[in-house]
Amino acid sequence: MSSVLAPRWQKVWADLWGNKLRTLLVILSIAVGVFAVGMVYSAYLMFQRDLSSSWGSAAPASASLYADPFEEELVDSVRSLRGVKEAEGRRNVDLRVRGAGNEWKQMFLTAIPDYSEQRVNIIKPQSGAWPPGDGDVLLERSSLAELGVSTGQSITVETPAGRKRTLKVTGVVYDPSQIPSLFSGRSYGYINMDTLEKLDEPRRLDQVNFVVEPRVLNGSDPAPIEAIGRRAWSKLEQGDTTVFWLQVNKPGEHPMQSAINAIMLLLAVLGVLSLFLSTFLLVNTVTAILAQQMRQIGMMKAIGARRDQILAMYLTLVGAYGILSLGIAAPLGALGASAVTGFMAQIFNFNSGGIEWPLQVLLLEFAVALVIPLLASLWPVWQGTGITVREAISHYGIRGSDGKGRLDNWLDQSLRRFPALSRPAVLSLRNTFRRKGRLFLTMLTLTIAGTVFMAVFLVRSSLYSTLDQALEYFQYDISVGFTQSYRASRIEQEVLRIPGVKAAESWGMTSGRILRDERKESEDEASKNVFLLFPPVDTTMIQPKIIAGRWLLPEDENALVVNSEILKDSPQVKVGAPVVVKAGTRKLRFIVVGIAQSTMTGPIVYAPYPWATAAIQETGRARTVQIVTQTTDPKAQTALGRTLEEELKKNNLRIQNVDITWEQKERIRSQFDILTTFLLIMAVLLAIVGALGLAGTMSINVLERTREIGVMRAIGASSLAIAKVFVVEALCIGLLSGLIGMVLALPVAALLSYQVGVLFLQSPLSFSFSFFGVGIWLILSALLAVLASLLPARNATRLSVREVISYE
Amino acid sequence: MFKKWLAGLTAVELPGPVPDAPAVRMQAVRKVYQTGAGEFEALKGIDLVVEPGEFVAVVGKSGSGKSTLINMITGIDRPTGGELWVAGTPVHTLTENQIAVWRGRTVGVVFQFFQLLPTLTALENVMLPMDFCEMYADHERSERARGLLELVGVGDQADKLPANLSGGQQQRVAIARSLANDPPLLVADEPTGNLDSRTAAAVIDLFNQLAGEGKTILMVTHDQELAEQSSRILTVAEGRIATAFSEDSRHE
Repeated sequence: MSSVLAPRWQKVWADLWGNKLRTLLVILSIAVGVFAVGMVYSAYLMFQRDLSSSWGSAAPASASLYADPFEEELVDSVRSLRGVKEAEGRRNVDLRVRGAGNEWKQMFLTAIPDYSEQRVNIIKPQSGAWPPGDGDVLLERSSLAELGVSTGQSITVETPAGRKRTLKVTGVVYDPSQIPSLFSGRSYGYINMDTLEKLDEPRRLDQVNFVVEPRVLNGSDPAPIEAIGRRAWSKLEQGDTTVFWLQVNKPGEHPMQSAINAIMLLLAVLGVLSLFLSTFLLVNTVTAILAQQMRQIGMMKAIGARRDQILAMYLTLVGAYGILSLGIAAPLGALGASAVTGFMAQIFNFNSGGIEWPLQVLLLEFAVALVIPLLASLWPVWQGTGITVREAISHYGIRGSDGKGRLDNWLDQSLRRFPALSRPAVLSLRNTFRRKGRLFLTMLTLTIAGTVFMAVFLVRSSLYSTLDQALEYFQYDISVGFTQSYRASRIEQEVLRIPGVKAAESWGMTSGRILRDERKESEDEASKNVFLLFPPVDTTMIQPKIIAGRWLLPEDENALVVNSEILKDSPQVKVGAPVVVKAGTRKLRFIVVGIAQSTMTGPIVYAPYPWATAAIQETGRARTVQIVTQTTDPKAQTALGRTLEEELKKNNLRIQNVDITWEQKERIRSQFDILTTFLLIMAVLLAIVGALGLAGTMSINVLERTREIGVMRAIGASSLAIAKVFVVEALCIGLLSGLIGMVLALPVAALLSYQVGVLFLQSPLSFSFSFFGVGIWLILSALLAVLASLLPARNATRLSVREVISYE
Repeated sequence: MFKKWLAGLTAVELPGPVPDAPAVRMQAVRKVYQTGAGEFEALKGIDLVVEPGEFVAVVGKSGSGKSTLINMITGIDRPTGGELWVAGTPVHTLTENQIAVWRGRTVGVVFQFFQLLPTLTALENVMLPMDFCEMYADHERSERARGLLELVGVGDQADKLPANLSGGQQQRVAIARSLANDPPLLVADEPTGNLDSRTAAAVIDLFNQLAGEGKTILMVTHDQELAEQSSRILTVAEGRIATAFSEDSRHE
């Protein structure tokens, strides 16, 4: 190898190969950026690819119409509409199911007339039987764990008429358009039309999904779909059914698009930050290499080298580092991307298609590994190669520090106030500020890492404290809903008889949709389904957190309190404004008096019991009862829930749902855990990058001060004493950046909390300071500082004085 | 494993010196370097005794082995064979880490290029060895360092950083630093190599004064004129001590 190289390229080779620690350091710093950018970009591409191949290929509905049961033929009239490409009718039954845990849960059964002729929201077989036979059910793959059953076992469902039926699980399907059971908390099953009859349901449909022709679409504007949907609405009503609701989906948008976007944004931020940090690191190292070789550069010039020749040598060195980094980081980036995509696939219920290494990712990685390092090192190399021969050879002994600036004077004054500090400590402190450019970049790296880390913890604690406040809403332990209304006094009497029940309060309840205004056309522009709860105004069963206006008062009549989730669909709702709610066939007119914080349990509105029950002609009756138990033990509460269900059924009360509060709270919390876990991973990655930066700086410092170390040894410093000088310096940098990061983390976290709150809870989070997060970072940054300086410090102590004094 | 890894960083114990020993005693000291061209014997069996209070100049051509000899005595380099006792301590038996602490207390080293730490003031540079070797009480250190700077004639420069001192001033500070722990032995490698002749003469005077106060001084130089101001000249040639003059024999 060496024989074919010109001497100057041999020098480049020697620089690369001769100083392995330094080479490793530079490669690592470039690799961090290449890895992060490569991972994020290819995760993004893989995600897009997999999402479209899973969800996109399932022919997601442009819109869905929900109506009273109708005959199958009616679907043809929708299919024949101009602009409709495909239409398909289905039947949905919402019922109670008992799986392996002997516990009743909510299940969504879908009956499809012809499994081989699916056209919209296509369900795909995964294993077992296909299509479902008579009396059989196929489960969505995400529902298996939720129910705790597997193929071959049976589940018991309770028909809306109150009868129990057994269905055999014969296979598993994949329904890309469903939110996984883990998040929705309900299971999905698929049956045929014959099975529908066994469940006491008529052999009719109640939903039409349709896909519009691509030509009618105008970008992502839902208006053309809505127009066609309205025509489909009248078609169905002409066929003598009542349509409740038209749900229009934004064209080409996944139902959880906003969450997907949020995660993509976070990943992109992570990638860009890592790229910045890695570039800082590289600039530091390249500057140090040039400073170290100042004399060599002078010598090369003395024997006739031109500046551009030397420039080319060092840039080649940087290029070589880049290529080596690319070799390491690119495969790791692909692995990282497939891990991220796998994780996302589980969350959003799509099939992860495995590793792919597209050319554009490779090109981007190539740019990050070569172009950016070359550009970034251009300035330090230009500076470094500018040294004159005279400057270079007149340089000997221990190199001085940068010029004495204001910062040094300030430091001197501060140090004078602590005369008890030992000289090694003074040395560490002054050394910290010795190379200001390097210190600045190192501090920037660590500060960014620390800021993000602490901000994540602050957001997390704000999120949890907001959640805790929101969940204080639930003062009851169990809620039971009925399929029809019963006399309130009867319900309470039945419930209070059951041992373990401390208090019970029955409420009116119905569901409806908020209309945009009073006009007739507004009916098909209604909101999604909202729950209308009619509690006594002085109820102690719930404690809604009012964020605007007030709670209901005894003298209120048509007053309405809405929760903040209502605002997502109906942004026109304001305190003092009139609101029309369509419940069944009735239009109820309310005045909004207050807005309550969402409890992550869906859109809910509250109206005073007497007036509202009268308005829906259910005076004195109730459809739900809230129960406080005598025990605080979660298991006992769950058990009591089961007892309640059995006992009430025995007394001919038909039950829709039994919700145990603590289980509901768990589910709500777990939704946020995914978000905070993601943020935490991001924070930890940045912490690693920060530590790498500090380790890099400390290694450079050791390399640069090798001669000083020798002198310290010569005047009696033990290895421990020398190591201490470097560890204290690293600690100084770590703690200083920790403190700056702490100050910066507050506004960053406040901003982030606001965004996260608005995105997920429709109102800003209540900001809560986390001593835990800040403390963790301060300790972690100190620990990282010690670890980051230990290896360089140890290398420093292993140098013998002779090596050092003769060191150049 | 980690413990072993960290062993180099832990504190050290030193064996106590033998009392009333000579300042330096070398017995058949050899030093062999492995070089690309094979073995190179830099020292070929040196026997030498230096008594306390002597000011010895070591002279010789470049490559004669004089620097190697000095590096042996300061513990900067280690002998391949033979015994080396400095102020009653068997240096050839110490570890690198022990040598550092031993050297700090026993040998003051003065370098050609001064080698002051740039971020510490003159005074702090002089106090540093006391800190490292934990000599003298905290409050005494500053006073002692000031006294040493006065002694070498740069007392008024105490609070300046090395960059703001002239070469001669820096070398004086370096000598003050070498005296910080009151070592019995002072070793200087070309201490005047970077100084003008007037300043160099002043440094030699200072060494003579220190020798008069009982310090043993070993100085490497290639300047015959300066060497002759010492009490004894050792000429090293091809790894052996060629001649040893004492002041008395020279003047006879």
